Amino acid sequence: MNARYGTVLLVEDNADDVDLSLIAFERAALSAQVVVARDGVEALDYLFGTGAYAGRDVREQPRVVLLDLNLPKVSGHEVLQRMRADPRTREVPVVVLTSSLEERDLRESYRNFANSYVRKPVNFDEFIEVTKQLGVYWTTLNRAMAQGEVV
Amino acid sequence: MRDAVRQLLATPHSWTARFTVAVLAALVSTGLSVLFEPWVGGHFFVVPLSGVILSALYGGVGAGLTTTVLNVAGFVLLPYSPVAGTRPPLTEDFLRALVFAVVAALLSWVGAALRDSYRRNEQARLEAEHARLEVERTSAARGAADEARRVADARLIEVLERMSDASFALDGEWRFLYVNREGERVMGFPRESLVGRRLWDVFPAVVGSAFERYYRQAIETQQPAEFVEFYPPFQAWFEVRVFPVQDGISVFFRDVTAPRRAQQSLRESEARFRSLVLAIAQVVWTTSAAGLIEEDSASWRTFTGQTFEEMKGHGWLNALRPDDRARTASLWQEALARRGLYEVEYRMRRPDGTYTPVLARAAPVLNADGSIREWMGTNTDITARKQAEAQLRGYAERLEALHAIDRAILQAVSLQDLARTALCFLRRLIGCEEASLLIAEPGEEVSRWTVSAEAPETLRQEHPRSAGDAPPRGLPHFLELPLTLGGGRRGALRLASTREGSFDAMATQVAEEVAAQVAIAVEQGRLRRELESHAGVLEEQVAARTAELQEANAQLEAFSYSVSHDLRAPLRGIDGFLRLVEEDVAGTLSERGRGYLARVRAAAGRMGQLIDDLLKLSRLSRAPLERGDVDVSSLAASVADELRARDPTRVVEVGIAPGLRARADSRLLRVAFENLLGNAWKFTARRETGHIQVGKFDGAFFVRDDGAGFDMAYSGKLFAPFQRLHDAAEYPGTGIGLATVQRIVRRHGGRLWTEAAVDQGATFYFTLGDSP
Repeated sequence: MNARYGTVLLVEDNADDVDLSLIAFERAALSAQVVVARDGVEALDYLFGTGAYAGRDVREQPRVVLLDLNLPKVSGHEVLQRMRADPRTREVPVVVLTSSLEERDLRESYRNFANSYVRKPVNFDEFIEVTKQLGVYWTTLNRAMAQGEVV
Repeated sequence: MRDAVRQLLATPHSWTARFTVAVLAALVSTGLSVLFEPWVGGHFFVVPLSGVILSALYGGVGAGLTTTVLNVAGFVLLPYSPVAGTRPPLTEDFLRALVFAVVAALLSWVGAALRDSYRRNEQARLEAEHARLEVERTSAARGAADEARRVADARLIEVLERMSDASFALDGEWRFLYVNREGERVMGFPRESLVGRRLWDVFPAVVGSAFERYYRQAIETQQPAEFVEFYPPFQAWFEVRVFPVQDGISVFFRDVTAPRRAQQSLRESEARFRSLVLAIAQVVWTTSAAGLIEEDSASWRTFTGQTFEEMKGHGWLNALRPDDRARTASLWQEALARRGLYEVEYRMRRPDGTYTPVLARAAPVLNADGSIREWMGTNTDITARKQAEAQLRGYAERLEALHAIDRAILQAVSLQDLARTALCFLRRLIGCEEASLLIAEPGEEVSRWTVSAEAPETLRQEHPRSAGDAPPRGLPHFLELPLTLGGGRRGALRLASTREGSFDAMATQVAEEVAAQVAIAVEQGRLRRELESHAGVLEEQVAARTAELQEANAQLEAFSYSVSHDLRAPLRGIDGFLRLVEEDVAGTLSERGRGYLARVRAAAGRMGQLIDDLLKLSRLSRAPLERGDVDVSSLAASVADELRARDPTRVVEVGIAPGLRARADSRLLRVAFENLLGNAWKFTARRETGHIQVGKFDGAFFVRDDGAGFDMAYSGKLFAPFQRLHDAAEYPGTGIGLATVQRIVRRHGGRLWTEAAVDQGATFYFTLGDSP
């Protein structure tokens, strides 16, 4: 899609949430391309061009990663840690998007330099509103590091 | 008159003058007799006899006799005188004339004799005068020497008069020649009444006294003498100096009673002081200012058996025990240098070779100018004190031993420790060769610990076959004390000695005390071990339970985590997809169908709320409690303000008592107020104007409203989670609020209770544990 708006990496194992999120993005009329990873491993493969995403140009990193915490295989916290440990993904913005309001999740996320922490509302209207705001903010308002602008 | 007589008698007269006077005296006396005859009678010869005497005195016997003859003639002729008449002479007249003549002749002789005697006297006087003048003449010729002596004598007298000593001089016959003024005063006689009298007559008490002896001796030996003697009649002492002089003595003396008494009392007080010092100190000594013994001390010699020669100088140090000498000598030198008190304890050798502990003390005796005249010192036997000190030390040691054993009881980590402490102390205290402790366990396992003199700090452990073992080798005297032990154990403390009498009453008493202590310690050790094993079991149980609880806790946490995470996700799906369904099929669904969909979505929403509240409740339980000073009034006000902001259409009067404070966790307390005030807000919804009060009553905070209230019959269910007393449609809620308040109050150690009635409002009271 439009490289100008880059991609959004949605890391979410719950199919319902994935669909609802996509609907929300659609309704928010985001121009960004949404890539969905179903678990932590898939997310890391995408980010580092390994596994199913072998060969991907990892210089192209998403404008934002929407990261669920409760993931199969590799947890969201670990994904975040690995991203921050790697120079290629160290500066990629990560928004933790989760159902949890546990203090330890919050603390852990910020300690690993999450850029934001948002709780997924149960109510669909609210959910759409939150997703829309996030999309707009991170793909249009927020200026990422240079690679997003490189043409 | 007298001079006239002397003139008359003394002067020699010529013969004619004497004859003329004799005739005149005869004529005058006869004439006067004739004249006075008629008045005095013829028998009275006074007048004629006076003439005779006068004549005799003037002219001697011849003149007197002449006058007498002429007077007799007058008598014979008288009767024929014209005056007497004319009668012839009678025999009687001749007799009278004869008597007269005889008397007159006698008187003439007497008068002449008187005259001669006077003359001779006068002659002698004149000769003496002459001789004196002769002498004077020769004296004057001798000149100034004599004058000088006279002046010297006068000065000497003056000196004697003025001197303060009494003085007198006696001649060879012991007669007073001279007494000076002070002598008059002392002897109590004026000199007039003394001079010329013999000493023995005036002062008979001197006879046979020392005074007489010295006086006589002075004269005999011609040597001056000096003495002090008591003179009983005066009750006084005199200091007397006697100087023999030519043919007599000069004596000078003074009353020395007062100084002598002072001296006497000084001597007596000195003697008293000396006996006092000797009563306190056994030895008294003096040294020179330089600290050397130069004066004998009989008490030192008696105490030590040293001779004066041996103790002289620094020799006294040799009477000290050799190992006390250096220290004593240096202390003595130090005291000398410091000119201050010297005080030291040392042991002195007695004549029998034994040593006696003494306390030696000395102080300098100063001269008037502050320099040291001498040092005076005493030595006091302190044997009794040393014994008392030793006894005291014994007691202290005993007490210390008992304390040490007490400490060992508290500190002993093992029976060995205890045995070592107790046995070492006991053996040393009693002074026996061996001390042992026997303990027989119920299973007849016997342990014996022994400490013996050869290795006083080493504890030997054995396991003899039985407790009633043979007494230790070569130690015939022993003392065995049983220990009172529990748990079926038996024990004994056994002391052994080579000497008889090691175990006297005192030793036995000490050993008994120690035995009692040891028994307690052994018992305590056993009880402690039992307790420790119990505690061990308990600890294991606690650890197991803790692990279980931790496991349960972890599970609970995992559960709430998954609740938080996984339980909510489906709800979002339900709500989301229903919403999409609604959008898709809204036109085709009946009103009822749409209603159902709405209810499903509402249910999902309530469930989401429920889950959130539950999570909140569980988080409240897990977060640590952090107490601080909380301004409760302003906290409640801020919660009320939030409520008002969220629901601005409601009319609610909130009254908050000012100055409410508490020591509490402000975050949790805020949650509690959010729930309590939230409830009050909610249940007054049907009042036109709701009233909420926050305050403190009788130590408890309260939140009161005038809302729906409830039936107190259900108050028991009020604080359980998810319990609701009202219709959710009427008063929405999850039933978690009061359960949350309850948990917060409990975590503060406080209590929550309520008073309410249906439609009468409700009051919730709570305390906060340590809240002031």
